[in-house]
Amino acid sequence: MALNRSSTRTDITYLSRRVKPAARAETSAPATAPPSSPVSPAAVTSLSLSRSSAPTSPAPATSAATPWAGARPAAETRPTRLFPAPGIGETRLLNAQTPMIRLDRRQSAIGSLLVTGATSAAWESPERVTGAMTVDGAVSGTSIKCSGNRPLVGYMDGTAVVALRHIRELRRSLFIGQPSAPLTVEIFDGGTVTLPAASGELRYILSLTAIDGVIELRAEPVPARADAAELWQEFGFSMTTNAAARRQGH
Amino acid sequence: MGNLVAGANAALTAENPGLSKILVGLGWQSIPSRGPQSELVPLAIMCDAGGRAVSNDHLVFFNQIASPEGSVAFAGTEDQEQIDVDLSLVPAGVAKITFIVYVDPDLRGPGTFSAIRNQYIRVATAQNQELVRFDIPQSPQDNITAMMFGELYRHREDWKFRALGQGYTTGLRGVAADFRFDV
Repeated sequence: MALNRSSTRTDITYLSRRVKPAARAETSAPATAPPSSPVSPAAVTSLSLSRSSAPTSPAPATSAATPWAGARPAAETRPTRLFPAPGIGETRLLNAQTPMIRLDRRQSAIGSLLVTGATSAAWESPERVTGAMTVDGAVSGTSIKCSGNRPLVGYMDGTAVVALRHIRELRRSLFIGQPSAPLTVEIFDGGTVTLPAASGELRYILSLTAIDGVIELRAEPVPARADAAELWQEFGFSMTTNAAARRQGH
Repeated sequence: MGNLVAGANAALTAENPGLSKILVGLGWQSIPSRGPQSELVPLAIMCDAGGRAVSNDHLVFFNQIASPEGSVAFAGTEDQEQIDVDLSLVPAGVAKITFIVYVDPDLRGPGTFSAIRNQYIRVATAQNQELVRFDIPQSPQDNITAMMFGELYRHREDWKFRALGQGYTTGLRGVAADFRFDV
């Protein structure tokens, strides 16, 4: 069954800002709330992710004119479903033994994430706007420019850079280097991790996935001789044209 | 209570009996530029009596939008940021909540507050009725990379607000060093 990626998931309520009065009024208008919607407002409010031991807050005001009307206790706003994973300070090397690390919310959101040794960087937004850039500056697909007039993913002095202020505009990214050279990741707090150079027929490339604002970095083993275009295809990066990106609101 | 000047304070709960839920709005204007622009990030720090962040989880910003107990939560963007504070839910160990705006330290020309104008912080009721406002005086900001806009603090059994408007030249690292949290 084909996935419907065009509609907003109203059944996922965690870690979202409260609905402001104006927005609430708009979304509750009959014209924008199809009667056949599979999730009714009542169903949404009945879904509770809070634990019984979680602190409770006074009942929120019910008036839609009150900004606090949509406030939720933090227990409902914190995702707890991520499996345990080491942090960037717990390993120096991403390889077959430790293939993945997870950054915390601060590490995932402050300053720049740098990838040294990457000859190409590909990106995909939550709206599936996809593009790539080589260290030489050649761009495929669609660039994503952030509000600070910087690319979401780009290059600076030969080093790939991710603008973490806009991490929520990034779904995933792929960094590919020369087989003979390692890839090194560095974040604002100085934490680093390295992917080793190729060994025999295998090498590692770096996969970055942003899950609700939290970055996971993974070393992906690939054939040493595969070129960037083959790897983008293998990992499902289909470069979007500018026209397609415009249709998706970018 | 009206407008404050830097350093002044205002009694919130003493003058508004029953006040529990408040809205803190932060705002500013950026002079447009074609090149890389400063990207300002609001941050609420929940501090103990010693002025230190209670924990890394008690930093509330765009990627960690609520404190663990839910007393401080980022809300909307009618101002640049609106932050909901439920004073009744603030843990007893929190003596003050400081509201800071820092320039995101993107390595590609992070910038300063030099192109920022008309900064303000305001405190309003949950119904968005403004209680107090602090328009930060305009002064040279070419080397300012973070700024304390204001703070809520306990005073005996009550909560007060203090206007600050103090800049940092050391950015988020300087803020983290002062408030003892990790970045």
